[in-house]
Amino acid sequence: MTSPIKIAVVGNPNSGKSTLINNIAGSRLKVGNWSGVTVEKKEAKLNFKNKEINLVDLPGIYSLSPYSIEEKIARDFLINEQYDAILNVIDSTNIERSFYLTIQLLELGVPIIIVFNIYDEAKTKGIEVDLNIVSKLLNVQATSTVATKKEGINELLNKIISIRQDKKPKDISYGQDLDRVLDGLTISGKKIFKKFNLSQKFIKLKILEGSADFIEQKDLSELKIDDITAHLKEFHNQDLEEYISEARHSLARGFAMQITKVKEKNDWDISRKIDQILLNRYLSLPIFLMTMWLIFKLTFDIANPFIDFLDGFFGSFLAKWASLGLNFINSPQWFNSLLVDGIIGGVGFVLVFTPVIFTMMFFITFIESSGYMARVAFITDRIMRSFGLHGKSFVPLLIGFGCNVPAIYATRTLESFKDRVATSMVIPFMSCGARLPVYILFTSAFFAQNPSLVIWSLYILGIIIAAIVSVILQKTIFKQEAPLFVMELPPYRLPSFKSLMIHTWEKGKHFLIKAGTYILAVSIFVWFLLNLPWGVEDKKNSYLGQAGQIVAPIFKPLGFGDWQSASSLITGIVAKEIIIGTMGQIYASEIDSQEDLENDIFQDLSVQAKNLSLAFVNSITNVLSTISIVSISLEEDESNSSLKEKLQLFFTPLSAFSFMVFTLLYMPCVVTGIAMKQEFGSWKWFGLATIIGFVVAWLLSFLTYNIGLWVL
Amino acid sequence: MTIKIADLKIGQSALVDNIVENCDKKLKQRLRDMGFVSGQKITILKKSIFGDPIKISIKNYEISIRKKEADLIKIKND
Repeated sequence: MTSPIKIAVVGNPNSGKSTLINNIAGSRLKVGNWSGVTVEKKEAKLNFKNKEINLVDLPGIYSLSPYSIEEKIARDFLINEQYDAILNVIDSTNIERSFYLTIQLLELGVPIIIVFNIYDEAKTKGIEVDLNIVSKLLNVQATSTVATKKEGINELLNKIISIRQDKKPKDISYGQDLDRVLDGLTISGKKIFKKFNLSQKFIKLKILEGSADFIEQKDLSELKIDDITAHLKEFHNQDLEEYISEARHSLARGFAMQITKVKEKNDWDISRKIDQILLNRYLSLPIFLMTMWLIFKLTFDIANPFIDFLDGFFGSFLAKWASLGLNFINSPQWFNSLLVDGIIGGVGFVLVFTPVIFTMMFFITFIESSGYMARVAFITDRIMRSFGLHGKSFVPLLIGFGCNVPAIYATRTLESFKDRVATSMVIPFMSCGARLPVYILFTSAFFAQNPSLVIWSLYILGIIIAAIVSVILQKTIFKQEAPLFVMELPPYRLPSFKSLMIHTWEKGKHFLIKAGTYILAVSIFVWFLLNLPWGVEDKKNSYLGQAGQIVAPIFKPLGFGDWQSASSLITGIVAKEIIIGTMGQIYASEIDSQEDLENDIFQDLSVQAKNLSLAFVNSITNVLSTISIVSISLEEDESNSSLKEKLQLFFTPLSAFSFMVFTLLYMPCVVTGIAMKQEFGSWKWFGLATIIGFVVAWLLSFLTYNIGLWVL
Repeated sequence: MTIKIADLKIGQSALVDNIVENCDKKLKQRLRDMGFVSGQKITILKKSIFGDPIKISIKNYEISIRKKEADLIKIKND
């Protein structure tokens, strides 16, 4: 039995690499993290013609001189790990540019398969690649694919399984002068080369470039590079790095010309045409804001009917039959309550919001993979900079609307540590999907005529607060120069449905994992807090109720000084959707069950099935009505009506709004805190974010409530 | 007097001359990796709100670069 063939997949960002991997690996794709850091690591093990293949997807890179953490990971893997070959994914519409990386990969002296991806688009542009010339010229394997249409995948797999018989790629000349310098290093660098399992050429070039940070400084200083390169510097009047970079660029240009035939020059550039409008100086910002608004509107229109369905499913169907079943087997009453009120009530309440999270993630994935996200950074950079942030901070902040946790991880696209932390400090003000359940519950109870406007205003408030906090932080803790902003604006591309679904799932699953772990644990914990001391009758006297009573006075000036709200906010520290889960549990005992317990299960199941199909119909109707701007989404919602009635006893519309403001701002959830700790190596940033959040939340809710009282 | 990228009008082209001496070494490397090497043609495609950042076409692809970083790249007339 032979060991699996290990392939490192390398390519520029936007080369269609991830679509290709998704299509090769499908469900066998495993997403994890690189050890020590939280950069996503994708791996796939598959079988093809009885051979085992192990694909490792490296982060997208432009060169082997790393700039960001991702690039360093990719380079370090290529230097330090054992693998059989490199799979170099190339954007066929721009071969010259892609080959700049290819040239550097050839330096490594490892067998290479060059994949000309996005080949269909290249053909439309009149570009054709002669694959035979490629393999002859460079002594590599070459093939073409259209990842979005799954074309060329088998061909590629055939190349992979035969790669072990392949020789090393051709050693390319970098011009007489440089070659001579490289030769000069052969003897003096002997000691260094022994330590690495790499081609000498690669190491030599890195030494000359001054980017050999993987070699010990002491070894380097023994080399006396200056003596060897003195003549080159003198003769060309250039930095060595510049000279090497130029050599690579011109090699890339030369190869690109040799291997391609441009049949008819086709200058039609659809992306540029689209940008004429989307990046128009005056229209760009309004269009962007409109897009955002549309996304939010569509998200709710599509998801709300399913929320109603799930609410009914957990609330009346699952809870009822679980309770009937438990009664049937004579389980003790307390266990019955733990399962039905605690677990189904708590977790179910949160799971109900899965449709919103996933729909939102779907749209965010869409703008990310279509190429619009990079434009968003372009449009917003100047504005973001006046708050001390970065156009690229915008993307994590936007993801923060879905969930703050992946947003913290997404700050990795920023190059400097300071930028990453500064962005992360304001991400918690981006109203995440977990806060939505709270808004939806409260708006439907108190602002049923205009729910979208109220929710929208909360999102905007979060953004304004983030801006203000960011400016203050920049003036105090993050006093440093603005970092870099060189960023590619990739061509617009319609992402394939499959890869959209895969990425949506990867983002959304955080929410489900949270529901299955933290929220489940907290639901059980809350149930005990609510039911201890043992046999407590009035929830007010339970441990949680007592804690709530102690804390409640703090919230009195904000309009919600009752112990129920305080208790909910305490448990909401773990994750904000738990706030309503807890409310559900607190009020559950006070809400009489009016269910008719005599239905038979088949009839109930058919009702559920009917409700589900109704949800589909309503969802489609909502989307259609969006186009004619008639919204029917939240008003007809009758879910949770008993909880809503309860809330109406305790809150006025004003205090309800104040409560939502507090929920929005009061602190990042614990899961976000854990992400911050992982990313920045210390709890202090979570601590800082918590303090800022609590102070800001209290002040804002205080102002909202008291100004409201005064005005209304 | 030397011209700067930010001074070029939309649609205008120029050739890269060099990157200024006192530029941070890593940034210099990055700019070169993105294609800013001597003799490379660039074209100004768009400017964002307030004229910053700038969208440039280089080596048949498009990048966004801030005014401040663009100032690090010396150019000459095409």
